Amino acid sequence: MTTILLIEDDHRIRESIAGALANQGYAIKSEREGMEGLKAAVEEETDLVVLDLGLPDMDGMQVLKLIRAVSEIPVIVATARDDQEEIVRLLDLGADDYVVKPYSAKHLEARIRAVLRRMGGEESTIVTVGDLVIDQDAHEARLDGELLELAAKEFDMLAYLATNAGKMISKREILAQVWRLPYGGADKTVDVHLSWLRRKLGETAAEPRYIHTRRGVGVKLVDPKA
Amino acid sequence: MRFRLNLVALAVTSMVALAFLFPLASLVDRLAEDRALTLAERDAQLVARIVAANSDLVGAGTAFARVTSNGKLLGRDVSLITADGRTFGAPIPASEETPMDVAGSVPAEGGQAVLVPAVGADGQQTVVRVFVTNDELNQGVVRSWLLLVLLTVTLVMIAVAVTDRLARSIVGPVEELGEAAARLGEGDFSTRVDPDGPAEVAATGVQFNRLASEIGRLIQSERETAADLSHRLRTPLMAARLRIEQIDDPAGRADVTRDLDEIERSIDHAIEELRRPARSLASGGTVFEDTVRARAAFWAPLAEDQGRRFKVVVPLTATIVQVPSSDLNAAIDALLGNVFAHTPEGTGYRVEAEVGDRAVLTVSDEGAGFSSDLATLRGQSTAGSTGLGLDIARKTAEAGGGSMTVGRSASNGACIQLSFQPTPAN
Repeated sequence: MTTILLIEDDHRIRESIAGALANQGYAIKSEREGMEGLKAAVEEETDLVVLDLGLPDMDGMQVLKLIRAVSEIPVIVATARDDQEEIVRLLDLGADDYVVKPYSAKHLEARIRAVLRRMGGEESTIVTVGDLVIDQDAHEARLDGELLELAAKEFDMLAYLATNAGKMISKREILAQVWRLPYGGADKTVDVHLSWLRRKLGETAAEPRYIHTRRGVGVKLVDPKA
Repeated sequence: MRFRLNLVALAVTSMVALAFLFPLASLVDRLAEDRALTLAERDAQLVARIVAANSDLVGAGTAFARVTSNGKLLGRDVSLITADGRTFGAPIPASEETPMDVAGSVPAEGGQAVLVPAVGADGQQTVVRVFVTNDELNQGVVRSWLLLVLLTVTLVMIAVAVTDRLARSIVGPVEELGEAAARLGEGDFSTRVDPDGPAEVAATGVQFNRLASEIGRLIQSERETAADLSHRLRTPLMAARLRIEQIDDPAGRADVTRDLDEIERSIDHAIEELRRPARSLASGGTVFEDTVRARAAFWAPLAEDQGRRFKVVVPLTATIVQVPSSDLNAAIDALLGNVFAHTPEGTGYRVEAEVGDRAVLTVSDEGAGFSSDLATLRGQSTAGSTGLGLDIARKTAEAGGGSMTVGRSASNGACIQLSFQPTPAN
């Protein structure tokens, strides 16, 4: 059983997340302070750490640095700050992924699964849908062998749709997984990025090939030849 | 500044050099003339002594002929003039009258005549005349003048070069200070100068570094406050979210979730507002036309997918407005996002930028227009959204020295104008 260490000072969040993760079959340990969390991460058997940055005794970033100094254990950081500078700093410090508050338990579960897959080497970094090949490690997408020039969010959205090819994905889920805004964001953000993605894939909403939208339901990526 | 200092050095040294140059040139001229006349006088006295040693005029004439050679002595014309008007040696122009009792030089045609009276043993009065040509009088003058001019030019150039070197030591630190101030204005708060140059400039550098440190500290403090506020506000919000997810009744859960969405948007907006001053300080301004063009292009594919006719009119100028590019992007996106969110697919829109005394962005659509303009002005929507997008647009315009106005387009749809105060070009 996978053991998750949750370092979070707010007892309501700790209890809710611990309960939701336990229901998914994870073994949960939780700590409310950074120092205790650090001890638990290093001394006890732990498969993944969910680390809140706002801790009462020490800064979460400091805890992250200390964990990274002695361990390769995967760490998902929970932060209330969503500015790029902060996110880049976190990833540079060794965070494997991050979630921005307020995040949902489902969102966190999805992130935990993705990080564990990566750590276990189970997840192929190359996804193929028809003539579309997406290399997540190289951050490259090719259509019919031609490199696509995609913006960061366009690539992330395409990669997410491709890893869930054939499955109808709601725009809210895309906002949660790609923009990490599980509870909203600009109404038309996903739409406009989808339009750009369609254009770069050489198709239109009226004549879709890979990207199919169903009004009020969501969007899915399919192999047009299938 | 450096050029001006060099110009001052050039002017001052040139004036000083000229003040010396003209008297020196005159002196050189006088010295050359004196030298030539002195030599001629020496020759004349020599001849006069020989002539005076003879007892009569015939002997004097014979002695004169022996001393001179066809009226020439050391290349100069020499004449012996007797009191009765006879002339031995070099001829004298008929027009010239030679005084018999004057010793010295007198003007003559083509030069000067040096006269030395001589009285023979028989008391006969004669005058020895040595003619000095103008060429002899001016011999070496032009060369000396050229040397003087060359020396003057060299001295002026040296003075300018030395001034330039000194100017560089003053101007260099001032320029560095100016460049650092520009970097600071563009948001690089780590910029510092190495205080150097004259004491006053170095002291200004020290004060600049202190100012930059203080601004950096304030910005950092703003950011930390924003981060702290984010944490303090979003953590309980998230706890509430998680609790709501556990509510069994779907209808009740949806109602509470909607309310919480509203609270969350307001909190996001408040946090965004808190970050705004730090961003504004870190901004060096934004090119208005480029930003409008880029955002209009960003929304174009969605417009095409939704069958919307749209027109974008942006002049080919580059006007700086003093708002961070992220805020201007957000403001334009809010206006265009509203068009897409609140008008049916297929509804056309127009994006127009005009630049004059003000930089004005107009976004108008062919939809049904606002049901309540006043409500929108306050940032409260009547169309199911929070109106925060328009509030952001209004605040961005106000931060840029302008305003937002809401009205109706020609087709009775919505029309929103954002105006900004353009920054004068440097």
